[in-house]
Amino acid sequence: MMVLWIKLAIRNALRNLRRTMLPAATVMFGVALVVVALSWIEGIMGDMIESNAAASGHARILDTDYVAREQLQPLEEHIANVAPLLDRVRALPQVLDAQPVITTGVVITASDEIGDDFCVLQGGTRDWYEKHLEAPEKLVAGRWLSAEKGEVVLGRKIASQIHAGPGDEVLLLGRTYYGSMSDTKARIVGIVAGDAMLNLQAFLPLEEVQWITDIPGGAIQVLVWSRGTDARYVGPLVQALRGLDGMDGLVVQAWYDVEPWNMVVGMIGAIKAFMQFLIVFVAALAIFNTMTMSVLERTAEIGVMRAMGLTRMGALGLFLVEAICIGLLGGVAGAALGALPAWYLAVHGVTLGEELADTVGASLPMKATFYASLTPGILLGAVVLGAAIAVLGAILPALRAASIQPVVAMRVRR
Amino acid sequence: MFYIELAARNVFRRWGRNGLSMVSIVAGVFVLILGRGFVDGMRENIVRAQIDTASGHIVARPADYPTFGLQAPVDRLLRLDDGTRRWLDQHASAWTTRLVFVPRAIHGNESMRVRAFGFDPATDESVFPRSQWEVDGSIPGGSQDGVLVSRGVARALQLVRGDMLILEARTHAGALNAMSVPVSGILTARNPLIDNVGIFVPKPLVQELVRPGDSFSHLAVKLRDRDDAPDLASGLAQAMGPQAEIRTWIQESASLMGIMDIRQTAMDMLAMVLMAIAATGIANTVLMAAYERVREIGTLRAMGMTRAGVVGLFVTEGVFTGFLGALLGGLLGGWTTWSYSRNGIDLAALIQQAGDTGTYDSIPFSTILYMDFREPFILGAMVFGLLVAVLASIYPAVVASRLAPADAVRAE
Amino acid sequence: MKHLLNFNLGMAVLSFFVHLAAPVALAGEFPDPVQLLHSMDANLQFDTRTSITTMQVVDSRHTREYRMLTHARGLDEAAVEYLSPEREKGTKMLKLGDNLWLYLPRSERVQKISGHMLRQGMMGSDISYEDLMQGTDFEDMYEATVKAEDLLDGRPCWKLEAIARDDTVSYPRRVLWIDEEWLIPSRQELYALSGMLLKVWTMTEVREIAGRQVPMLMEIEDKLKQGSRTVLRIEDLQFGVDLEDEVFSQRWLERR
Repeated sequence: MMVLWIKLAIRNALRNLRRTMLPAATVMFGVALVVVALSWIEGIMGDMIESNAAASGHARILDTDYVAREQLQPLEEHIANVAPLLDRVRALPQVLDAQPVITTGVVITASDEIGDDFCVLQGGTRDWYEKHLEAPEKLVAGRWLSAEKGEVVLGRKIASQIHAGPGDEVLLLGRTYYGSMSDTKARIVGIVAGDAMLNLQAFLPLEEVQWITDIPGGAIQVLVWSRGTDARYVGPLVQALRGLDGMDGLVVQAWYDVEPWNMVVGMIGAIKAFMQFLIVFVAALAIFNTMTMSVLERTAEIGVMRAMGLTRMGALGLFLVEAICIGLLGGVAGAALGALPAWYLAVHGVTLGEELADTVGASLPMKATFYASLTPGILLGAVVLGAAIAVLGAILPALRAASIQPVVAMRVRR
Repeated sequence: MFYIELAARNVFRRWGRNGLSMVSIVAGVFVLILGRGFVDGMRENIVRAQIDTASGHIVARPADYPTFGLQAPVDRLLRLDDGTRRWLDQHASAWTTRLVFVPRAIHGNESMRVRAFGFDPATDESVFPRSQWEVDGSIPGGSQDGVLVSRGVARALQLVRGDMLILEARTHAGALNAMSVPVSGILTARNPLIDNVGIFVPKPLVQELVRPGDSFSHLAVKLRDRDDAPDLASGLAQAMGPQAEIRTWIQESASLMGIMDIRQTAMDMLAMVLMAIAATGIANTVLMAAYERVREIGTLRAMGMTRAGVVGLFVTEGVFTGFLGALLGGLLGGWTTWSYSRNGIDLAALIQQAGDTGTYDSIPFSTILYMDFREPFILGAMVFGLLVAVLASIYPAVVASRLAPADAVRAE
Repeated sequence: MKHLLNFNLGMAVLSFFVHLAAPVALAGEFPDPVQLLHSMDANLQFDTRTSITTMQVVDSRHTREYRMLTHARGLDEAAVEYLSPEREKGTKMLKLGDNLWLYLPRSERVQKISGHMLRQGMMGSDISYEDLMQGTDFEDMYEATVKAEDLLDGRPCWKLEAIARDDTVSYPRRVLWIDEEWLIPSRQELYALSGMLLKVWTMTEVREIAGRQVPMLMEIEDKLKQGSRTVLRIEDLQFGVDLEDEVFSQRWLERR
């Protein structure tokens, strides 16, 4: 039966090629637009989410009181002994990796005066810097931290602000968690450039920052990575982390629950949905048109077939399959059409300029160049979207066809 | 005339189907206007955030004023002289002065540095509209009313409406001053510039706290037409002299302008594709109409109508449908964008928040999206829709005209 | 004449002032304020002093204590070296006139403090570096009047009000209680322009050392921020110690 349907549907679709091609073209354009736009949005978002995941993990564990006053960076609300927690976290099957981090503000200088320049100081493990932040790959000068003590890597912007470069010695003056003055001296071994946040940071080994803040063996937060950024990985991860022993006074936050992501993710979703809705609406209308005509035209034919024993469902299916054929045709063509510009954007990207990235990127890890991301998922999704549009547009006319009474249909005169 | 009559008759004869095809044009034009309004709105969003919260159309601030970090010196300020006033009378549709300073805000045993916007209750809103503001409480006006605190500050210092907040600041001259003031309200301005560390202090209170006299740190000017800003700025610069630095909204948002090129490209692409979708839709409908009336065409051709005549008939029908559709789509799209250009779409409301996870302070632009409403564009979209309808109906009309009279009659 | 009333906050921290008891000429019922201040200055005439002081910094969450060795010469030169805790040991501060340097032993660096950092509290205390920098020209800066005779902790004091002569002075108004016998400001209130009380500074536990009356305890309380105060206690004090010139030089900062 299925084979018959498809045969019939294809025959019908080909019977009036022009009439088939037009809605197919509509679907094609719509799907092409979806492909380009989605890969663009995915590219930008994916990029930002990846940067964020690298810097902040898929989930983070930190003190409840720290979260409450995070704006004030209350270092006193730290995790004092982080090693046992790390062991427990790393033992979880959902956990790919977990790393302790201390972030604090310091006064920085390369001259013999101090007091005017501030930067954000990161204290992280070698693994965090290399595997997650991939900071060594973002070097624009010098090299990454070695095992030697007394080395620091600076973000490009802060380095230029204090007029220092590789080889220069800088003084970092921070404070202990209880407010005492605390300093360290280090030689700049490298300059990194990336998103705006990275450009304003200084990087030291965790132990060094533990000393500065006087939190030996401790951390402000533990960053945890799962196998993917998606909620279907991160959700169970967060659940598992919350279920661990010794989590009293600590909170677990998924990356998408931390601002601004809780907003951005939803907002991008809304924009995507709005765009898809428009395209689906217009394209479905074209299909609706075609199929309505097709049904009207073939009323007699349907009537005969119904009289010959075609069920209602059969009549419905006949038209739906025809519509799906059109939709798939348009979908595949559209995916192919849209893939070209999307591929171009994915390879070459669009450069926004450093200044913009710095302005906007103060709150989001935004880069100077945007790349689209063209994934098989988007292409497949677009083709399916074409078919879905077709079904949506064809459902009413097909129902109408299904409601044709055999006798009435045969009585219709053209 | 005959064509039009015939076309009109045909259009109304099969009202259902023509209505359907019209919907496709309506949708095309509607989407075009809406899409453009949406995309332009995104761009406008950034510009407006700049104009409406920071600079107005032209802003004057002391020369060498620091523009990054949490610093706002009050030792070198500006003053209005007669020349400046004359210029303002002549060119500004509204203007206001602000004094920005950075006091220490203290509540209980917590303290933090905040960015205080000293505003003139009488004129501030005329330059910096508050339509996006959400205030839990009231906006202060007099010196007794207290201050309006952004939600970021309120959260960090654990403030609720009615709490007493201590502000410690340096006066214009340099002395230490402090006041305990009530929190009149908690503000969500949907702009990170304000929502993170901002507070609003009414001018009478600023007078008591910072004592700037009649001087200020920012003069923000609204013009009748913001596009005049570059031309008029030099006049203000001349009036205010070298101690002031004059910036237009274009300069102030220059770094953000880069994003506009991309948006422009994206918009053009979107418009083109949407119109292509609409065109195929229209062609489809007219083709339907042609096939449906194959017999009628045969009769007309047999009665001596030329092929050009048949083309004309269908094109006229297309134009008719297109006109109605474009008109309807234009009105619908125009109305929608117009209403959203006034009220905005709160994107935040579209988003489900799992519990109250806090705020969205750090969004680099306002979460309320105002669509961009421009009459010329709406008119253009309508004409374009009509044009597309005409062009799209030519092909099926030609197809219809090619049906030989005999074939057409035989088509049964 | 440069008035040397040494109850400037900064100098007090750096050198912990000392006064000799001396008779004050009464002008009518109340002493002439200028003369009162001059008398106090006269009592400050010594060359050098060396003290060991503990500083306790208290805020709503933590209390911590520092021990420091202080050398001072006159009013413009002071040198401080932290003795404990271990982390801060060897940290040095040097004030020469209007300049303030910091020596950080861990980094072996001498830094001149400037810019924003001047407004930060020294070691997180209620004393900002800017407070330390403040000039000592009290008479130039303030117009003083004796307001009343008052009892403070059962001791007669002159209550003196000092109003800043111009509006650029950081603390526009101060109210002092000067002990009539010991000639020390037992209590000082620092007011904001609005009249709001910013800081209260008290000196107690006066003891006689080498013939001078010295308050051994000084407390600075931030009245704006709850639970925030700094307590200084002198443990050992010597006058007329023979200090080399080198102490008040940048070379001293780097000396181990």
